[in-house]
Amino acid sequence: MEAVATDNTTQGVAGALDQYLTFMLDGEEYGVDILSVREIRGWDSATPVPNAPKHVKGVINLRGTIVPLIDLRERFNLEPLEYGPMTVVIVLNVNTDKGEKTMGIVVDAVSDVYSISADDMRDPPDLGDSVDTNYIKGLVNVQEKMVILLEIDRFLNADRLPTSSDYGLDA
Amino acid sequence: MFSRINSLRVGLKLWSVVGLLTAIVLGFSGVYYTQTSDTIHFSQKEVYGNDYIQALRPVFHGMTKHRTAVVERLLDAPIPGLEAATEAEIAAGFKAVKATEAYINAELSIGSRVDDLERQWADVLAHSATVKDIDEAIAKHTDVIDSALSLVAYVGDTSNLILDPDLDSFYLMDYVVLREPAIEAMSGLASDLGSKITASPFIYPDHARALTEAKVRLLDAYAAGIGALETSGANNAEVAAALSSIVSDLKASRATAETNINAVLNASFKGTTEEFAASMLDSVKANEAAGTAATQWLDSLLQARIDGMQNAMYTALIGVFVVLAATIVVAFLVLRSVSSRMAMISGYFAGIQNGDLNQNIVITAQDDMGELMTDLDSMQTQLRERTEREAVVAAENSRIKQGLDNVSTSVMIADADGKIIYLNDSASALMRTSSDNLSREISGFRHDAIVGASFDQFHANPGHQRNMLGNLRGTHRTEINVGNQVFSLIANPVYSDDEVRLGTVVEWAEKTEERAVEAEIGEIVEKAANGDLSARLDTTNKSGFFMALGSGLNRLTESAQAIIADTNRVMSGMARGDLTARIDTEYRGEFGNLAAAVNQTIEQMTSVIEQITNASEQIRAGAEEIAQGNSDLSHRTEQQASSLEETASSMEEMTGLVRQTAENARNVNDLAGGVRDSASEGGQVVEQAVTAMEAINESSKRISDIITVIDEIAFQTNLLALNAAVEAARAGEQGRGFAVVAGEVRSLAQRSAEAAKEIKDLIRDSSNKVNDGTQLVNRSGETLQSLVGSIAEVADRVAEITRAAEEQSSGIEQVNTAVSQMDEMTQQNAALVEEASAAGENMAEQARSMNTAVGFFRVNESDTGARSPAPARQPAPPPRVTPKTTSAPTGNVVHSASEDDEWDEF
Repeated sequence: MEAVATDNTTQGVAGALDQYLTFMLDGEEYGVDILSVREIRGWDSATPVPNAPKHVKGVINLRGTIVPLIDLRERFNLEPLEYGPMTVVIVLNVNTDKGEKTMGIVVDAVSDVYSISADDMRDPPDLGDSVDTNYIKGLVNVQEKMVILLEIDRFLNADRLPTSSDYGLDA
Repeated sequence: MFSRINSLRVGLKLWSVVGLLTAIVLGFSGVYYTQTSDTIHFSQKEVYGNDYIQALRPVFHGMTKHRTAVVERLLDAPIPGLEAATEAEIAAGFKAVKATEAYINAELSIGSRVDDLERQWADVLAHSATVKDIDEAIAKHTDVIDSALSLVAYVGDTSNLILDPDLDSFYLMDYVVLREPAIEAMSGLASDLGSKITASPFIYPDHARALTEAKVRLLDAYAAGIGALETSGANNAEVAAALSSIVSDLKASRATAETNINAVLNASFKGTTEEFAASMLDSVKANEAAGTAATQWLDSLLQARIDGMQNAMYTALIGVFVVLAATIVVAFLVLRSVSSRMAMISGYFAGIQNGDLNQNIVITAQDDMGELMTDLDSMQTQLRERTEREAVVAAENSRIKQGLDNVSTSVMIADADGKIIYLNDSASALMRTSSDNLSREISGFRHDAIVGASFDQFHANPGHQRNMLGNLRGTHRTEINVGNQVFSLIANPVYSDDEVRLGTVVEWAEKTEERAVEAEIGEIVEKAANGDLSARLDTTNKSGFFMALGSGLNRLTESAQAIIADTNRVMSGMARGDLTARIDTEYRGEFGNLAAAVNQTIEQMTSVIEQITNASEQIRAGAEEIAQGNSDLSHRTEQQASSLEETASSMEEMTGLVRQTAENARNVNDLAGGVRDSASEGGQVVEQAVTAMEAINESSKRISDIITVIDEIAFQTNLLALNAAVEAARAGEQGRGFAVVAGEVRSLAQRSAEAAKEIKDLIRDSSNKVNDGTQLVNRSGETLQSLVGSIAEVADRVAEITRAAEEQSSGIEQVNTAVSQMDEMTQQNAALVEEASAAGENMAEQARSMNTAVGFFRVNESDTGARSPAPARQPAPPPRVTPKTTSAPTGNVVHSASEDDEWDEF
């Protein structure tokens, strides 16, 4: 039922639809709001940052802006994958309490662009106090697949360039 | 110089030695006296110095006290009478010093120093009468006190006190010269400074510092002084006993002074200023007493040392003179004894010189002179004994000469120069009997004047004679011919007991007759050696030994002549072919053996010739039979030759067949080579196929690379399309169419990526297939390779067959050669058989002629001398044999075998 609805929504042309860019991570599909995406690019070598958390791979110079890169696999405590020419970096604009910031996330591959209505979105599951789920905006079914939509502002707010070593607790 | 000393008399020499020794001893004694006097003077100067310091003490004591008196006066606490008393004391002191100086000044060279000090003191005195400032008064006084103290120190230096060699006196001196004045001066200064403090209402810090400094120096001076006295006491028990109470007084006054000064410094001194000064003056009295005592003890120690040294010096000098006097007395006694005994010895020598060898030599003492007299005594005894021995020897020599005179042998003795010095009686007789002959041959010879003449006159060459006799080492024998006489000479050298050549002894003997007989016998023997046995020795004029020798020699030649004549006769007959003659005469010994050997030779020869005659007949019969056998052999050889020819033609055919086989095998070999080449070409083709496969594989890899690039382009396109979609979304409604286009581009990119992936799979598949193909081609290549190997093996085998056929062919040719060689040999055999046949005939002929030759010898008396009948009879048997062999060579095989076993079938 919901799958059909979602299908319709994605196929629909009008209505209050939000567009989401989805990407693959360890076989799962995740989505981010397309308006927060600034650029999609292939992996290139980054300058490592000393004393950074393990998942911060370093910084790159993106046309004058210094952008930190975060390996989402390591950020989600998944098995790391070797980087190749097909590895993709999605550069995102993140709204933080200190204003807009630019960050990059390293993902396995870019999947698609979906238009999703807010009604089709499901709330994130309540997993109790032990798991923090407030960085998930919601879940949506697209073409029989579950897509996890990430609340990028909330999720990456903490992933600014490391200024304190307590970030690991947040995760 | 040395020779002049040597020529002095012994007495004078000894006296000069004693004089020199005395001079040396006196010289050393003088040196010793001078040095000891210097040492004594050194100590004497110390005594002077001590006296002088003793005189100076009241002066600086007075000065110190005067300073106190002036200070007290200025502090309005005068000590009554002290100032005047001290001034008087100082004036008296200066007077005493000057009195002392009168006899000491020259020794110590003090000069004007005392006058200077007095003048300085007069200034101080004048100044102190008017001065108001205490410090100025103290400074002036301290200056003059320092001058006085330095004068004391100068006296100590210049009077050797400071160099005192003994520890006890040195430390006493140390106290007197340095410590006592220092304590005196410092105690006074401390007293004055302390008075200044007690007189003022409170203690100024600079005053306190000055007093503290004075206290420290005072205590140091006390410690040094007490130390000096105690050290002196430690080295001299007497001094220690005398000074012990003074030392304890010193320690007490040091304690008092320290207590008082400390009290002043603490402002806890209870008395008045005068009382303080008085107590300080009191305390220093112990020091003055110690100074006096130390001076006295120092004086007594120095005096004791001077006395001791003087005593030692005089004792030593007296000892030296006593010993010297004793030496001179002993030298006088010795000299007198020596000269008297020398006179005795020269008397003895005069006696011996005059021939008196029986002097009684008196030996009075066993010293060197005594030994000399003992030697003189033994010399006199030996001289006497030798004279007696020589008399005995002379008697013995006379006896020997008498014996030699009467010997029958003729003896002549010459001295080392060859001069004849002796001739015994026999020799004199010989010379006399031969004197006619000798005087004819030797000019100037006289038989009664031989002694004294030279030996050389008996020899033709006198130089040679002299040389030979001079070098004579052992016995020399010779014979000399003088005229018609022969003399035998035996010469021997004469040596003394110590091997010195004294002369030559010569024995003479006459040998004239013996030499004549020897010549005659020599002639006979020479003739016999040359084969002439007819000569005989004439025995009529011989007698005795020479006659027996002559007749024996004649018998020997006669018997030798007889046997040689008999042998000659028999051998001559044999030469003529007559073997019947014999030696019939009986001979003994070797001659008998010779005769028997000759007879035996003829017997043996006779029997040999008879055997030869028999054998030659048998040889002739054998030769006939050989001739017949040879003709059989000739026939058979012909048959063999024809068989061999047939064999040769068969071999020719066989050779042709084998040669063909070899040719065929060679063709097969060529074919096998062609097959092998083809197989090799197949292998090369396979290798090319493998290379082509690898090229295909390489192309596939490159295609794969290109596909990867396409794949990357598709990926980038996809990313671009996604970025375009993002931009379209930002643009909102206006970007919707753009979003659609971006989606189309994305799907195109995805499709091209899919296509690239499929192509990749296909390429991977084709690459695998190419690999399989490569393996197959490799396998076929290996198969071909093994095929090539097999073909090579076949070729090798065929080549072996070819080689074998060729070897067979050459083997057959060798057989062929052998057959033709055999043929040739058979031909030669036939020729040889014919030659053998001719030789057999020849041999029979030779046998006949040999028979005739042997017939020459006459072997018994009945023979006439020529055996011609025997060869005439012998030719008869061969005709009997030859008909059988020649007429029936093959048919009579059995018959001939039975008749002559030694000839078998050939």
